[in-house]
Amino acid sequence: MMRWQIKALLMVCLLGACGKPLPPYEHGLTDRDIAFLQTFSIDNLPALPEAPDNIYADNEQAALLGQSLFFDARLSANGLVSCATCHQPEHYFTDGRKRGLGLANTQRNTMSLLTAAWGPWRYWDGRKDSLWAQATEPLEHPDEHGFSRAQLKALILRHYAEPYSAVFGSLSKEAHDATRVMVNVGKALMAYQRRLALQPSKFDRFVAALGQELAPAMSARLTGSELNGLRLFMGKAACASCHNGPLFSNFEFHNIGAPETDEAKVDLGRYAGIEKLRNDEFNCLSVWSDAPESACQELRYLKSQGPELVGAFKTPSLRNVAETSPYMHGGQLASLADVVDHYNAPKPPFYDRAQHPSRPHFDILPLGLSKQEKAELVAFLKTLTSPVPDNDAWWNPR
Amino acid sequence: MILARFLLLSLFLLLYGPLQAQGSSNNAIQAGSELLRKADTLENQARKLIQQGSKRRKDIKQQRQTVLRLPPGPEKTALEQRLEQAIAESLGTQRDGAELRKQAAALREQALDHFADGLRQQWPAWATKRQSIQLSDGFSDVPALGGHNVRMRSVHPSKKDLAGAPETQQSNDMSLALPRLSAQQLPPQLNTDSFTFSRDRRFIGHIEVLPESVRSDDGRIEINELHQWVLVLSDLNGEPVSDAAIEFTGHMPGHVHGLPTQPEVTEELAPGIYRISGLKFQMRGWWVIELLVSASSDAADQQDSLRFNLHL
Repeated sequence: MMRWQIKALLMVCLLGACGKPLPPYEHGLTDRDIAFLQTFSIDNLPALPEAPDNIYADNEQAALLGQSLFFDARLSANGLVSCATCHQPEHYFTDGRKRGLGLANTQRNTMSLLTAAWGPWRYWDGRKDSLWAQATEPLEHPDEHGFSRAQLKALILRHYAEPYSAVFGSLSKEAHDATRVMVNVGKALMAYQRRLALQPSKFDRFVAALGQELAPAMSARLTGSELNGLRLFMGKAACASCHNGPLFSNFEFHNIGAPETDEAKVDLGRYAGIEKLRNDEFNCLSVWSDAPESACQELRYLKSQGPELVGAFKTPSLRNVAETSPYMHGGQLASLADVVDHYNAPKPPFYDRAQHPSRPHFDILPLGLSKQEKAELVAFLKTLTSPVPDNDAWWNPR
Repeated sequence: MILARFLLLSLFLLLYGPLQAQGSSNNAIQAGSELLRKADTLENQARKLIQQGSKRRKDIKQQRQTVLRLPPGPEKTALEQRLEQAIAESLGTQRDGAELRKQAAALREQALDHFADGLRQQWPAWATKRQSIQLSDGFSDVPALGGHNVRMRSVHPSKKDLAGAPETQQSNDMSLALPRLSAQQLPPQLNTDSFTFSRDRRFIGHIEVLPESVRSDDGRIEINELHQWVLVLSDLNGEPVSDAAIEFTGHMPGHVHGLPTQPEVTEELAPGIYRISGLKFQMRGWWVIELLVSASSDAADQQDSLRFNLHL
């Protein structure tokens, strides 16, 4: 335990501030604890996943085009809805609403885009298997942009002919029919979203300092209750079972008994998402995908049966969770305190024999957390917030 | 030219010689077979003794009813004494049976060791590890890492206490209390051998990560990432089992959910060596993998099973 203190002192000396060591700080974590926590650190986020289905995924011109399109409200029936209408950078690319509002109210809560490049599935029910395929849906959805492929092509011709052609080839070519143009717009939007990077949160800076056997800077020191919350997160509250890895998500689907948004019309979640995914015009195996069949492994080995799919929703990343309320797939829970309350004393999922194909699987246990423990857990979750960058050109329109 | 051909031939023999030799069982496998036969003999004896013991107990129970109905007297006392003796004898028989069964299990374990050695000699490219699949982050050996756990599909509000609360357990070198399997305990000495006999002891199977399918150099897997395994399937003479039909399932004891994907055998890489694709684990904890195996000569409904435990 002394070693990092000495090293820290040396570092401080090197920085010319010798004589003013940081006040002592007891975190009580062992080396092995720290190694375990590092598996959650943003520093251990693997490189962007390969995207064989989008050959433009890492093309900077495509990303720049995508950025312009992302913030352009002309891509909508009324000229008022852009991607950024719901995915607002200042709200970590969410909208603070229960459910998204485009031309009308959507069915689900708006997910953040900041971690969207990772994991095999898009949307709460994973009905899309790539960001480009996902991007095409809101464009056409009557409750979102309400645009048509023909309108989109006309708009690209009029305002984006040059940057579009520079990436995808001349628009005058026959191959660029309205669907091809929409797919390419999706691929540009995906290239853009892959540029959205997260800066380390307080938790990451804390773990990084401990990993280097340095005393964390004052701003990176977890308070007693944050530390207790961290212990609960990894332990008694069992959050880390599903919220694992650097993005605090296993990207898979679970039914945690979130209240139904409408009991007369239950949301079957992943169960319904799988059918949509298989029949999706733009999935990895479609003609619009650039991937060879052999690269569509997730689709090839798709789990399509089992009671655990009914009413299951994707484990969302917990990065920036404190800034992205409300919570759950329909925004049912307003605050983190409500979420922790739900997990602490969960109600089993609503079951209606007439509507559900089988009794929904239930994935969580009552936790038995005290009032103080619940507050500590919330305190820890707040350490997962990355700062909104003020000099990252990708976060805002250029 | 002739020399070149000779060299090529030698190279061929050098490379394929060992493969050709695969058919013949090696010493370790022979030793394993012998031990397994001994184990089976012991197991049969054990079963007989235990059955004998149980039958005696049943008879004794009936006799006791008779004795109870007798009026007190020397006849009753004598019969009671005889009964006591019979009880002691039957207990002894059952104890002997249990002891033999234990010996059989130990012999089977030894046999598995020999088979594992033999198969590793026979398929050095495919069978290298004894420990089943582990996560690359190096925390697979922490017994405290369990994962969430529920023992029922849904909990009625009136019965929610039945589900119990998750417990936590600390590991020696960690202060973080990590969730432990509460409803279904992780056995203290979970057998995570990568070799196993099939349920009907017709086959021996081995699973291993296909190294080129994972990021790490040591064949450990990443959580939430697709990867592949090889299954080495042999009969008890060390002969590879080709053209088997294999169904793959996996679940977490105490959880109601299974694997997040549907893995499949996609290729027979060499006789008895199968590629399993589409594997992914979304959670730490205790996983049970079951492979349902039908040999090509089996009847349509004949299925043996290989079970492996993983502690991720």
